[in-house]
Amino acid sequence: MNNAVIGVSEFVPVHLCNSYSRSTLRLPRLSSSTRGLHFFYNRDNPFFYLKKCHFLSYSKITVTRNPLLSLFPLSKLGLLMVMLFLCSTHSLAQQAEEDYLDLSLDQLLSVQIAVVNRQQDHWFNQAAAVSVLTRSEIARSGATRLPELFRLIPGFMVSQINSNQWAVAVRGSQTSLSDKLLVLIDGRSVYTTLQGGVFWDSQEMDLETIERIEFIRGPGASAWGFNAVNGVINIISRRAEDYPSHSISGAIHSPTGSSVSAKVASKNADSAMLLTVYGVARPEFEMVNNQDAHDASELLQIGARYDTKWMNSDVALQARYYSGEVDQQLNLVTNSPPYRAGVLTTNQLEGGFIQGSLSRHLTEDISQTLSSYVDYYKRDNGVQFGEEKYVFSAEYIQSHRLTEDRSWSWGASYRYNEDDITNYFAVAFNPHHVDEQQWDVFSQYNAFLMDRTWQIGLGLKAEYSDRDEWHWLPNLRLSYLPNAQHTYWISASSAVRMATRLERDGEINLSVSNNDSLVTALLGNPNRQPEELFAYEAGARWQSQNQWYAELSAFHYQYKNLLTLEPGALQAPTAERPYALLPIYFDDELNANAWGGELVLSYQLNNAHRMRLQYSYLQDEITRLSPTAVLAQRPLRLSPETQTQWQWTATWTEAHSSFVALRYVDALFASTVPSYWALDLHWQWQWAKHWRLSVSGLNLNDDSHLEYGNALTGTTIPRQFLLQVRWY
Amino acid sequence: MQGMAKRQALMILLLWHLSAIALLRSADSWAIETGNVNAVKVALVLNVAKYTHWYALKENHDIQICVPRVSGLESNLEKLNQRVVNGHRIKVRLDINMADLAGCHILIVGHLPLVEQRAWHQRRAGSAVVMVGEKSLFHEGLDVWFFQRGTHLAYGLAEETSKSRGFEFHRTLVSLAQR
Repeated sequence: MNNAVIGVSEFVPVHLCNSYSRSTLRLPRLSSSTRGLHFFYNRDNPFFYLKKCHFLSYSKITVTRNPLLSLFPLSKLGLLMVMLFLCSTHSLAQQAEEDYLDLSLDQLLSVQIAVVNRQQDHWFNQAAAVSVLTRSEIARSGATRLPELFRLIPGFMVSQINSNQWAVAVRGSQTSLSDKLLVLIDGRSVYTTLQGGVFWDSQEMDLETIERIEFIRGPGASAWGFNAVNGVINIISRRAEDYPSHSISGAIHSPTGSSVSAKVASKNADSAMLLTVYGVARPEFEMVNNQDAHDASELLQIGARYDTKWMNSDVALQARYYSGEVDQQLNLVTNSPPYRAGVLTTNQLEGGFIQGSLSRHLTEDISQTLSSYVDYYKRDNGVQFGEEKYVFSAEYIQSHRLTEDRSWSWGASYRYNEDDITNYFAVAFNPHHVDEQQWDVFSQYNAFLMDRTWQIGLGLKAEYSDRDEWHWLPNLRLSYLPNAQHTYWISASSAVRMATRLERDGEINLSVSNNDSLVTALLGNPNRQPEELFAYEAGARWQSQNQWYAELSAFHYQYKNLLTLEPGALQAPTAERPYALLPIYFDDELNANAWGGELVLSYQLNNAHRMRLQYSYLQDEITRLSPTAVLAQRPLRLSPETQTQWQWTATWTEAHSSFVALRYVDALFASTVPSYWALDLHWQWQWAKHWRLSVSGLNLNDDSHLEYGNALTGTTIPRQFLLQVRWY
Repeated sequence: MQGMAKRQALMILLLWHLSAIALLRSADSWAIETGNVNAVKVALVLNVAKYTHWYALKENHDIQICVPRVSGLESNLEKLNQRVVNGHRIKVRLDINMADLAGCHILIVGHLPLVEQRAWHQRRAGSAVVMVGEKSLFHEGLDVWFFQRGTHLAYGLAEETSKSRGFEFHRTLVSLAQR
């Protein structure tokens, strides 16, 4: 059976439809030459019931072939599903609606209404592809780790590499460190400039401490600076006063693992103090060849937060210390026979930070925020890589409401990085110790124009690093807001990813010949240029008066100076180096274009049920600037071309809620990882006043599957179960 | 197989999405009882008609609820037609233009672009027309405005301007308005 779709050729007002006789709804019979689905008007046909769907009233229905949609085979069953949906659309709640007319005013104000988009005021009008996960959405999702939350957002590409490592990216460049994604926790960057990206194994956190997460797909450099290239994740934690006075939660995992969290909060009239302890032990997974992946991990965190008022200012102080171990399996190059060995080792992690912020309204229209933090971390696996890093950062922002329609913010920040590398034969840095300073100033102006039907945003950040030069990072954003239900926007912006320490100063030995006379090494390039992006984006959001929400965003990215590898000339042995060296240098001889988009269709029946369908698409083309350049990888395409996900959030009673996510992830283009489906379920039960029980199942449709890495040696992600009990 | 799955994944999940919504809508007993926001708004408009006193409205004359262009509330508003409040029948007039404003008692403009709301506000200047809309950063000129407060619909009132324009809100309406 070939494909066919229904075209409703003419819509007429409801009252006209009601006066039509059923015979006018007769469907034209298709000729035998039309190789599509054939429909006849009779009482057994679903079309008969369309007459009852007054919003879909029509005078004539035709069945046509649509060349675009015929790309997608639409089965009879699928068509029936569409019909079922259309016919059900207005079958519900008619009677209840009429009842409202008889309610008293007091009763009417007590009627719960469906809320499609609770964050509308916050971001619905923004000229950017923005998503927000709130605290309640995080709790309902059943996620226990940050990347599990990220994969709920359209356009975000999240693959679990093994038990403790993740490849997280947005709109491409999905590597284990995700060098084009900036991640902030309460304004504190967790992006490592040494290798570029985020070590997710040291960013374990109790998700109950998160107030909300803001996701920006697209460059955010004019606001957040360097490395906010493809997107930004902004995690905002809960204030101490928002916690119950005490809570303890414990979870057990299958495969074997567990976590425990305890929080104690103390509050008085204008201040609150919170102490937290969080410990987690992650299980070991298996590789494709059924061998143990040696990837178990343990982490313990102790944290404190203090929120208070001081001299008419909101003050927040936070501190956290963590320590842990992450098992690793390495295929290590050595300087003694046999020169390469499989090594089981353990990465020792340690770190912490102290952070403070002070916010104050100077006048009714002027506010200011001063924030600062000191961050320290250390990781060392004893055989291949060791790093110790200190960061100090301070930032000042002042915001002005110039008029009802215009606002302006400006600010400046300073950042000091210092790292100290423990050099090993496999990986070394030269110099092993570097300190670096960065300054930036920024300005952002927003205005509503033409009776608030247009909104314009102009931003510029100038950022300087003493290892580089000044970079100007502008953006222009324009929204058209015809009414409260529609937003159309376009933007143009630029961003820069700084060359990492590894790309400038690294020395990675790739192989040693059998007689120890020749070493092939990947060497840093002090002249490596920053990667640049110029991005054009456009999007639209629509929301019906009550239940539907749709969002479409599209992008076209132009990258310059992307990472390549350039073979160098063979170097003879020297007195300091008693072997010949075949160098391969980090370089930047690649430009690329990438384009794609994301689609979201959300339907909220009421406050109890929401269904959401999201789809993302990514494509690219590359231009090699040097004939000898070797691609380090296909960084943009080491990502699925398409992703589709369906989510259902349901509140069955006040005590029971559930969340279902079914997702399809396309094969990773430049990898041997095949496409896969995954089904996740979460059930939450408030079984007593202060007790909550939740059960989660991940990858329920499959014993295990590969999400990232090599089809021969990669680690498979098994079906997982989690049982969690919380007392508060 | 994989190529097919790539092309079909979106369609499969789209069809699943639609059919699941259909099932959910059909099985309304699953859901916590909530109201269609448009139905609640129209019921509130009915209460505005009920709790407003127009000085010049003669006995047995209709209360006219007027709506410019297409508002999305039509199907709910039609249920108000012919209802009687305080001895007055309600008459709903849809898709009116500015020349039709005379005779209107309640004018619903929340669905219009702000620039058009302002034009209607200027047009009805001084007349005893209660202008009903949605709360926004700019909602000047509105006498009653709806907005969401958590999971409920609430309304606000511009009480102070009413008497000078020939109508008065009853204290029931005033006391339940959000300030």
